[in-house]
This record gives sequence, C-alpha cells and structure tokens, in this order.
Amino acid sequence: MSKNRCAIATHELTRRFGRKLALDRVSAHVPVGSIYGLMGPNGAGKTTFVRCLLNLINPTSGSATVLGHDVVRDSVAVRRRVGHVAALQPLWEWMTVREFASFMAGCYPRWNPETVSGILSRVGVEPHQRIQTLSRGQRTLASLAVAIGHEPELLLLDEALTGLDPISRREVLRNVIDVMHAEGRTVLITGQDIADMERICDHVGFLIRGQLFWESTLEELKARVKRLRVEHPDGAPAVPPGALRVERAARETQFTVSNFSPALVDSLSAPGLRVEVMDLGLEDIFVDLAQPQLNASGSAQVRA
Amino acid sequence: MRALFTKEYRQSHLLVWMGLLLSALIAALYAVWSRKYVRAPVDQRDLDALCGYLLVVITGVMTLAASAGLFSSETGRGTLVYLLALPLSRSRIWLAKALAGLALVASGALLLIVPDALVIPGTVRELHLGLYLPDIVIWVLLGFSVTLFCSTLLQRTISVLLASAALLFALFLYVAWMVGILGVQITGYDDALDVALVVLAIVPPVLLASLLAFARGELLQSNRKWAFALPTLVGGIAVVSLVLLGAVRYTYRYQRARVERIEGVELAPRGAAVTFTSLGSPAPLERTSDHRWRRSTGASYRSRHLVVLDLKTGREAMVLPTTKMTALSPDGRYLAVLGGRFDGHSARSLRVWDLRGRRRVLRGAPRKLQQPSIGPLEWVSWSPEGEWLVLQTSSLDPRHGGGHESIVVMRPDGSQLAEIVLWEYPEPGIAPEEAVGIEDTRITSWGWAPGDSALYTLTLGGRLVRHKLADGKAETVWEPRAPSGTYQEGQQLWFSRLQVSPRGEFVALSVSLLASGESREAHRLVLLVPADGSRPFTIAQGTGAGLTAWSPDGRCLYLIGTRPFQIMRWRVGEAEATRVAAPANLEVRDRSVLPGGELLVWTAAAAYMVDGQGRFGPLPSPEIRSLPQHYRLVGIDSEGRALLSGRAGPPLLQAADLTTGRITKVYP
Repeated sequence: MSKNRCAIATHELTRRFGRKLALDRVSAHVPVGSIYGLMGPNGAGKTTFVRCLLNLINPTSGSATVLGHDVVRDSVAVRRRVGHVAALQPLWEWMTVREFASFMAGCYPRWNPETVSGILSRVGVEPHQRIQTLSRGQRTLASLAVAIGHEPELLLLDEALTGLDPISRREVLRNVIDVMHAEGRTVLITGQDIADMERICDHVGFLIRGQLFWESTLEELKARVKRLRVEHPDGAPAVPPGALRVERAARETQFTVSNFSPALVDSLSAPGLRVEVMDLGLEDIFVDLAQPQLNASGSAQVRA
Repeated sequence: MRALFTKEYRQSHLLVWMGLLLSALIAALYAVWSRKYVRAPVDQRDLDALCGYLLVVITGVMTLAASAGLFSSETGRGTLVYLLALPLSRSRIWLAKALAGLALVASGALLLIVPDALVIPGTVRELHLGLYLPDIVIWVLLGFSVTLFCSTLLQRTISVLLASAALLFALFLYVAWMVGILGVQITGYDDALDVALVVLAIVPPVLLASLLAFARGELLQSNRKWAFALPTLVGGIAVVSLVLLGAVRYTYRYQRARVERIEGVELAPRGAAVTFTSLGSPAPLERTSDHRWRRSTGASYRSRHLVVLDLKTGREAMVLPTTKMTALSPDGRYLAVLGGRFDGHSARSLRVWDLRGRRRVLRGAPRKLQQPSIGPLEWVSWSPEGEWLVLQTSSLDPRHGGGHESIVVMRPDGSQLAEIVLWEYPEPGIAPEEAVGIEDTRITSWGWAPGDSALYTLTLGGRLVRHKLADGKAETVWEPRAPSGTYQEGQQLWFSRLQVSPRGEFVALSVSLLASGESREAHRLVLLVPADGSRPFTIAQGTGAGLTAWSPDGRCLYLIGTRPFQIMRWRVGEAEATRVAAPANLEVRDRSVLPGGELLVWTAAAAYMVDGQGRFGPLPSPEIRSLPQHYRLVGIDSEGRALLSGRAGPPLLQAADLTTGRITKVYP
C-alpha cells in the first residue's frame, strides 16, 4: 500500500522497555478513511503502539509516519491533526467540562465548539459539571467530545470504548465514528470488544506479544480464515497446509485455516469424504488465530 | 502555551490567596501588638524583625509549594499523558509551566510582602529590602528551580519537597565549598566569588536538567529521565563553576594589573609578610549610605583588594576583596580576617587562613563569640609568638544605654576562649561619652609577656594585672597606693601605654597627670614596674616622655616625645633615662627599632638613627637618607631591611638595606 494513502504507516517499529520487547518490528498500514481495529490480548502492545504514534514514547528502532509526518521529527504536527482518547484517562478534576473544553480549545489552532457541545448534549454531559462529579463513562465521553473539537483527521481510540454502557457506546459509534468515517477521516480503535469492532471496522490488525501477525481488511480476513468441517467415515484426512487449529472427533475433523481457497477444498475432497466450509465470526477468528501464537514460545507472523 | 499558562496559574492560585491571608494575619498581629493592646514583653524592633523574617520564611515555603506540584502532580495523577498529547512541543509545555510557577511565586510574594511592608514600616528597614531584596530574589530562584527539577523527576509532592530540601542543602554546602575553599584554591582570592553569583550560576544547569528530563523523559515514569537529568545537573554545575572560576580569576587579574594606589601597609611583626590595600581605577559611581548611587567623589574605586605579600618570594600569598580588619601572625604564615562581605557594620565572622596552603584554620567565629552578650568584633591582633588571637569587641547598646567593651583572647583554632572586660557601662541611660571618668577600673592598655605566657592589663587607675591564660588565673602585679603627695588634691592620674620588655623583666607605664575637670595634660612620667611586683621606679618625667619602644634584646628603652621632638634612652641598670641630643624641630613621621637595638627615626625630610652609643645622626648613605621625602617607613623586614611605601605617584613598595644603601623593588 502506498504511504501516501496511509494515515498511519509504520516500518519495523520496535520498542523495548528494558528486557521486555513491547513492540517487535511492527509494520502496520492504516489506510486513509478507514476504521482500523487493532486487537490483541492484554499486554500485547496496543497502548505502546498508540503512544509511539503520538511520540509520547520514542521507538527503540524503526519508523512511523502519521498523516505523512514522521512521528519523531514532526510530532507537534502529528498531534495537531490527531485526536486521542484513552480509556480511564485521568483528567483535571478541578475543572468543569466547559473549562476543560476551553483549555483544549486554546491549545489547537482551530476549534469547533459546536461539535463539542453537540456531542456533549447528545451523551448527556452538562458543560457546567465538574469533572470530579462525572462517572467513569461520562469522563470518557467528555474526553471523546473534546478530542474531536479540533476536527482531527485521525482519531486514536485507545480502549476508549471500555467501560461505556451499551447506550453510550452506541451513541459514540453513531455520532463520532460513523460521522468521521462518512467524512473520510480515519479512526484507529484498539480494544478487546470484538463484537463492536466487527460491527464498525473495515480493517483489522492482530497484535500479540508485540508482533503484528495479521493485518488486512475485515472482508479479506473473513474470506481467508475459514473453518472446514470434514466428515470421514474411515480414516482422518491429512492436515492441510496453513491449518491453525485442528479438532478431531470420531468421524469428523474440523480445520481452521488462514489461507482458504477453493483449491484447498478440492485438495481435501476425496471419495467418502464430505467437506463443509463454515464462515467464522471475528471473535472466533481472533481466538483461532491468536491461540497458536500465545501457545508458541516464538511466533511466526501470518500476514495477509 | 497561553492556555497552559492560564491553566497552571488557575490550578494553584489558591496559594496566592493563602499568601495574602497570611500577610493580613501578620499585619493584624503586628497592629495589635504594636498598639500595645497586648502588654507583651517584646521590643518594637524585635517585633519588626520577627514579622520581616516571618514574611521571608513564608515566601520561601510558598516558593516550594508553588513549584513542587508543577510536574509531579501531573505524573502522579496521570494527566501528563493528556498534556503531552497536546500539539505543543515539550519544551513549550515545560516553559509554560515554569513561567506559571514563577508568576505564582512572584505574585504571592508581592501580595505577601508589599501590604506588610506598608503596614509595618520596620519590616522594610529590618529586612533592608533595598539591600537584600536581590539576594532574596536569587535564593527564591534557586529554591524554585531546584523544586521544579525534583518535580520533573518524582511523582509524589511530599517526595518532591523532601528531595528539594535535601538537594538545596547539598547545593548550599556546594556553594559554601566553592566560595570558601575551591574559589580560594583556584583563584587565590578569598571571598572572590559572590554567593549570589554562584547561586545564579547553579540555577541555569538545574533548569536545563529539568527541561531535558522533561523533554527526553517520555512519560517521566521510567529511569530514562534520570539518564538525562543527573549528568546534566552535575556536569552543568561543574562546567559553569569552572567557567565562573576562570572568569573571576581572569577578571581579578585584570583588575589587579591596574592598581592605582596602595594604602594601609602593615608589616607582620617579624617582617616576613606585608598586607596592604590596593586600589584600582576610580569608580564613576559610588553608593551612598542610604543605598543610592551618585557620581563618584574620587574616594571610590572599581576594585579594592587587601593583598598579602610574601616578602621572601615577592608573590601575592592571598588577596581579599573586602574585609573589615586583618592581622598577620608574627611569622607571617597565618592571616586572621575579621568581617566579611555581608557583615556590614557589625562583624561577627572570623576566619584564620594558613597562607601556605590557602587553607582555613578557623572557619568562623566560635559559638561563644556569637552570643549577644559579646558585641560585634572590631579589631584583631596576634600575640608576639602567635599563640593567641586577640579580638576587641564592643556591645554598647544605644537603645538601652549601658554595655561593655572587652577583649576576647583565644587560640587561633578558637579554643581556650576567655573574655576580659575593658570598659563597662552598666547603668542604662548613660551614654559612653558621659561615662568617661566615672570608673577608674577601666582597662586602658594591655600587652604580652614573652613567650605569650601571660597577658598584662592596665587600668586607668594604675592597677597592673597579669592574666595567665593557660590556667585562667589573674594576679595583680602592682597597683598604686593611696595618693601620697606626688600629685596634689583635685588632680587625677591616668595610667596608660603599657609596654612589656622583650625579656619580660619590666613593664613600662605612661602616667599622665590631669587637672581635675580638664582634659589637658599637666605632667607625664614613665614608670618601670618590675615583673616580680617589686617597687616601680620613674625613669623619665615631663611632657616629652611619650611613646616607648623596647630594643629587641630588652636592654634598652626609647622614649620618644613628638612635640617638641625629644628622644630619651634608658638602659638596664641605669636609674634614669638620658636624653639623646637631637634637634627639637624635627617632625617625626615613623620610627622603628632595628634588630641591633638602634632606633631609626623617619621624618618628613630625612632619615636619622640613634646608634648603640646613644648618638643621634643622619643615616650615612645619602640615597637612604633622602628616602623619607618620597617614602613612608612601614617597618623592618625579616632581613633587616627598611620596608618603604611610596607617598604619592604609582603604587610602589621598596626595601632599603640601611647599611649598603641598596634599594630593591618589592611590589609590584
């Protein structure tokens, strides 16, 4: 993918905290206008990845560009064009929501107060409320409203939907993310709420132990990762290449493959065997893809 | 950046109001106490001073409080991530925070000090705000920057405060070491480094270390910040210190190369070293007593240094920018320095330097000398063998009347300290000048027994006491009996000018007979009191029996009267002094007894000598003879040469060999 068409492009981005490798040569590409879901278990390196993009922490090696700016050299330009919301992000408790918005407005060259007030009213947060009186979810909503006040071209939501009730989450998805997507702006969401991700994302990336082992469109992911159910009255068939998971029963074996193609079905077909191709939900795909990676001591990357 | 500044200021503005509240509280307390609504046993001046110092302390505490939470609170609460995600460079964020903190401190201090200074006029006076305000500002700057530095590195405010206190203490020790020890070792000038200058030199590295730690320390949670902060702090301070020392050394050398005058030349008793004040080019402006600047009257100089010159090597052993009083030990190795840059008129500081290694033998006046009962130190000298230091103090209190003057004798390292009261005005309300003549127990002079074994004191009434300092005992050697007809009723005897002979056999006393109620001297005589307390005897009478000087071997005593000029000479075994034939119209400027016992007389026009046979005559060498026309006699150095200082013209110190007539330049 051309870098110019990428809102985020990283090349072998690596970050080490002492002995721990938090990001291991991550080369990710987030297309402009996409909603990119970065998934991974706890400690996979998602927050480190986002912080590297904002240059809150420096990469140990590798490079990253955001909206065409190098994140290390042009970090201020990056932050000017990017909105950022993190889950459970502490705010200045002594401020009111209006003061918070006003403070943030003073830090950006352009600001759209109507956007902020509109979202705040829709999610039910009063501007005169002190932040210390807001619930955890309300704080996230206030942060989210303020984060798009400068009309960012890229919104980084680092586990931002965590802790939101279903109604608020739906409001956020509808009023923020859908609107941004409609306007051709880019959203990067990290988190573990795969159901929401599946609903809104058009691109996904799986990050495990600091390694990005899958990155593609959601459509492509679903097309390539399939479960094959093989009924065999006699002996079990051979495991096809690229099988992620194998479940055997008395007369039936299920394979999850990451390189599904009609040819693969043909290769399994034999007299007496019946092959059934099953579509998988994102959660099943994630589990089937991630499990071998988590079990393995080392990990080989599986790329689209 | 403005938004961030406003946010920081708003976040801590309560501190300013707290300052104002405290200020109002102090002012109210002052108003109540000063109007005597409360009969408190507090002196008005003490109350003024107390309020003033309270304001300074509160300002300091406010400084720490304002800067302690600037970064640590953001790191501790986790809001730092939000801050760093703003489209501002880290250096701008740091700058905005630092400026906001500084603005807080400044506005708080103004709200604190100005209203109180208006309500309490004494505060201004006691604090000497006009004089010390720059120092207060500088120390507040140091406190602020150190706390800011700790705030960047630590996450809890209490940790920041504790670390700041520890670091400030360490820096205080560093400043003391740099000013007091390292500065002298490297530059050769005592007190050459201004404390304020050093403090100002420390502030930029501290701020830079804080900035680097913040700019490179990512989220300030890893050890990465220390890697930037500590080397910058330590290296920065070291580099700046060395640059500063180099600059001072160069500046002082530059100033010293432009000496225009020297004055106050004093020779060490054994002639090994000399001290004098060197004056640089005249200053265009000078400061008045009320701390204002005016066009110079010619009495002020851009540089004014006290120089210690080693006469053997001809090198400057040490240079002191400003002092109140100094005294060289008899062998010229040690230098006692009284008063410092910040002492003003009430010197309390005392240092003794070993000039060989430029090390301090005594780093400050002993605690006993700091007690209020002992007044400011006014004068310092050494005993003939250098075993003891003598300090003269005065604790006259113009507010209450009374007080006393005394001498304090102690070892050069500050041990075995003993106080001998010279004059005492016990009654409140009696001014010192009115007290003169009331008591005759006042000590008029004192002198040392050979080998520094004892100190003799002489009261106005003639009581001669020997103080054995080693065991603290005092014994009366001699005191005059009741009036026995040697003077008439209504007249008063005044004993003074005690001179102990070098061998310790005799003590020469000058006795003046004053007409009662008059200060005019009617008669004078010189008494010799044997040290064993046996009967004293008069060796000379008449108004010409003035200054006395013993020959080094103690066998001969010269009595010199100045108006008219008259020399008398007494030798051991003689009943009375004999008059030396000399012209009466000579105007003696200086005199000195040579190692061989001859008396060198320095008049305005020529140099004369009284030889071992008691003959008076001009010096044989015509070059030496005419030297008094251009030079003042300082004394006789350790090689027996006459040390001379120029009366006018360029600064010059010369040494003249009195036998060969050879003149050698000593300084510059």
